[in-house]
Amino acid sequence: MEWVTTTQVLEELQSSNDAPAWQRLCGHFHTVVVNFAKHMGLSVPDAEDAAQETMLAFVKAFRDGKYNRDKGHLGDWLFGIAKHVILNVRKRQPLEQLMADKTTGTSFWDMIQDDHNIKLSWETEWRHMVLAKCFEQARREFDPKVFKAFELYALTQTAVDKVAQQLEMSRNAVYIAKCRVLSRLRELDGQFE
Amino acid sequence: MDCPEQETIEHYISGQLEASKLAEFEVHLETCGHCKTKLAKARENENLLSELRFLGTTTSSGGDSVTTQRVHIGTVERAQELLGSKYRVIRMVGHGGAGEVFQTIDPILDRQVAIKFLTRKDTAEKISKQRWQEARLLGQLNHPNVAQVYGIGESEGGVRYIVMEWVEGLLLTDAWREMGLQQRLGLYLQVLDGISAAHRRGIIHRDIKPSNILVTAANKAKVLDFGIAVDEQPLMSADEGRYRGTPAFSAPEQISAPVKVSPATDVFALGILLYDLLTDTLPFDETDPAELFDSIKHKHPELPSAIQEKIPIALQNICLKALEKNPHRRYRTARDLLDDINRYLRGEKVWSRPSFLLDKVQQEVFYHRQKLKVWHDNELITQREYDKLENIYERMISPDDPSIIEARKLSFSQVCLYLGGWVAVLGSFVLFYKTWDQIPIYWRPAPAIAATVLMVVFGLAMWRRKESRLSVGFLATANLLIPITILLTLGQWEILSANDFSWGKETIYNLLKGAGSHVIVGNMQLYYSSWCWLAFSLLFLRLTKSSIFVLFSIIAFLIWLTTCYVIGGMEEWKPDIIAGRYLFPGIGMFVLGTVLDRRKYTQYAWPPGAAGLTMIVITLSVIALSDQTLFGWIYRKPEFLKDYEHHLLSFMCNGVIYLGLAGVCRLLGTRFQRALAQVLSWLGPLHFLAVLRILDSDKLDLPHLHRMFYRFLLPVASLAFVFGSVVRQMKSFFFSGLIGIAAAVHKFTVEHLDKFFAWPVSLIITGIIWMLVSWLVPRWKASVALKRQQ
Repeated sequence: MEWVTTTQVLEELQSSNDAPAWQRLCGHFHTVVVNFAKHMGLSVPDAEDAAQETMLAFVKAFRDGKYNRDKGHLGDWLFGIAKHVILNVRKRQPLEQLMADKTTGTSFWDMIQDDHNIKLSWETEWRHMVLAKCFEQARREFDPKVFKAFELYALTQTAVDKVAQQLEMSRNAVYIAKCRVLSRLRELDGQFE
Repeated sequence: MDCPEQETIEHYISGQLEASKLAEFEVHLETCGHCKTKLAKARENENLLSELRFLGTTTSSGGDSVTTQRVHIGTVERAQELLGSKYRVIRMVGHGGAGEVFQTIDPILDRQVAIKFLTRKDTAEKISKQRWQEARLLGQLNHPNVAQVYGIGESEGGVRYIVMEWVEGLLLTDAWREMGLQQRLGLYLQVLDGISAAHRRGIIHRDIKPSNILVTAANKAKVLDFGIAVDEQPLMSADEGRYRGTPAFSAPEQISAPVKVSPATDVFALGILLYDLLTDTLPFDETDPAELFDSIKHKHPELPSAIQEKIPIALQNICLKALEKNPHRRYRTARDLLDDINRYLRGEKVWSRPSFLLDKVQQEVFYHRQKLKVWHDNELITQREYDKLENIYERMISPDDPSIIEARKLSFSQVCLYLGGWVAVLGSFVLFYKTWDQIPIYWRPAPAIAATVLMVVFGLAMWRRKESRLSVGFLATANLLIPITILLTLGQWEILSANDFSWGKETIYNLLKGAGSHVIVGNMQLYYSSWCWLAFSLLFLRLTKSSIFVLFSIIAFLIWLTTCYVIGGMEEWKPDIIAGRYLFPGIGMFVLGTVLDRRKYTQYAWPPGAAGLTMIVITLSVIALSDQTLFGWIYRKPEFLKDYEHHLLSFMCNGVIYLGLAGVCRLLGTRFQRALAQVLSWLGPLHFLAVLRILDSDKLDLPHLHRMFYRFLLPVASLAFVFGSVVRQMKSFFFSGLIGIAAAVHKFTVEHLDKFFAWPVSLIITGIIWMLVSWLVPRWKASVALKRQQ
């Protein structure tokens, strides 16, 4: 998948009405909304429907010029729409289907859906999407060995000596690989929105 | 220092740089712009990395992303299908990153259980033998505050599950919402108890948070979900790449590479829980994950007392110690945290201090020491000066055990403790005053022996309970009682007394007799008792490392040495010293010391200055006590004054002389002079009490009522000195007060009570009771204070 920033997606959406623009938009935001909806207690089919509905509502509002970039973050705006859509879906379902009993029993998981948690959940999903895209782009850009060194040492936290031995690199090269990939990831992160 | 390697920077960021290298690195940072930039960049990178790990953006290998499979149970029917007839599934109660949980019934045992399916297939497959071993250990963990693991199993489809105790109750944070501090602490202690039981078996929870703790209707806290503890990777789930654990309750080492999880990781989460308990807020509450991780790793939380004014500082310190960034600086286990909170609840001193202030001092000291080395290398300072300053810095960065410092501090409870001990020692000493013929011979030293044994037992018990402050008090008392008890026992039982008198011509016995003793003390007895005293002093010193035992060791050694001299025949004592021979050379040496000090030869000023002062003080005291008295010695004794009035006036004059000298020394203001002034200031309160004692003398011929007044004034003033010393930590008043009390006890004994065996016994009992009260009262006060705070 090619590297496309949010700005590019929005510009494309503004200027054309064709299928690729819609696909790009969904490629960017669909998974975020689906995961968020699941976290809000919707089943997978309901979450897919809610995501579709959110995308449509988003495009309509965007083309109507309701989104002003100076006034806020795109993610926040999309969150408002998604939350509204998902809550509407939830209203149509009995509460018991959505949430387990929180106050009694072995309730291991934080199922309390207050506003703060909902927002946190959305932000996590959004950030996950952004980082995943940056990550894939960085993978495409770097030499596989360098990227592998970064993955093993920085992400899976394999000991530096082991990584160096496995990839036949010096310890210093492993450190530099980590530093270079992370620096590039930061750049991409900054470019994305 | 050369620029450090990248590895050092990474360890610094993750808080895993050794303390010895930490200060060195930070000093280097102050001067190296290049490293500063590198560090800033690495920090930003590290934050991004934390996010990547948290969000688990990738789990790819070899360039191709791996989509991890997840076993989805989803419905009660599916769960029932997997479990077969072994359990009857009632409903699904939760799901999370590691698995799905169902409420079920075990039909054979007819009890409710919670079953957690490990639905992440990769995890289930990769769970190593070690982790299953941990799960088994959890099964063995039968603790009232931990939801018990009943068993582990595998369904026909290969899905693994854990069978756990079913708990009904409220979330911890919901339960304590309406509670006062003490009730909250009660629940918190239960949680600590449960977690420490797990730590003892080597199990780390890794996800302690309020929603993993339930409070039952019987007000019992139950820690749930050791689920993460049995998983392969605690931080990053392969499935959906989710971080496991809860970000806001994560320890810095959980979100930094390389991850090293230990019981201290749980302690950090418990610290956050305690912070929540105290303030109803979380210490790190940023919503943005990157900011949250940055705060956890690098920022100190706001002081709880800044949020809630009434929070006891001791609890705040405990909380902040649990929240130390470096796991080595935290409590090692939940047990240590529990011990400190219990110490607080018992009203004892809590030693936890946030380390960042100490870090600051260590940094500065390191910087100074580097400069000092340069000065030394360039011969700007002498070797001696260098060594001295090095010693001081060394002591600064490796301070004494704080509990020992506290034992030195004159707090009200500590003063009571020492006073009780002193009264018990005096009581034992009073047993010397009579031979107590009416009591069977073997019972005569019994009260002193009993008191000594009791003090040793209490002291060691306190030491084992890590209550060092109390331990030092009891052991110090025992240490003073040991030589007295040995001497008394040997004297009363007439052991080693028959043959040794000829050796030393009863010299030391005569000294004791002068103090009112009627029990015969031989020099050999003194020799052995001082030897034992020295041995015990050194033993207690090794155990507690308290400097009071250094003092006792020196005294014991001096007595032992003197006894050796006496036994060796060098026993002649010359009380009739000619004052003039000592006073003028003393004054001369004192003046010489002062002149040398003024001329910047301070190092040469100490020997003559200190020796001169000692000679002046001894000579003036001897003159005041001798028949000559000060007036007689200077001119002639005024006829209208009786002998004891001369003594009285001599002591008063001595006091004035010392005060004057102290004033002059302070005025001169050098370090040497200030030290002399400090020595002189010790003599002031002592002289005041000595004057009171002389006023109660038979020979002054004062009216009976006046004498009685002074007789009662002496102990009252002494007690006032002892307790007054607490205000400004005036050790001179404290020790003078103790001596005054000893003088008062002596007077009372000689005048009124020397025939009553009950008197020394009651003194010993009073002392012991006083010590016990001073131990128990602070606990009671703390409990009252806690109740008030609710």
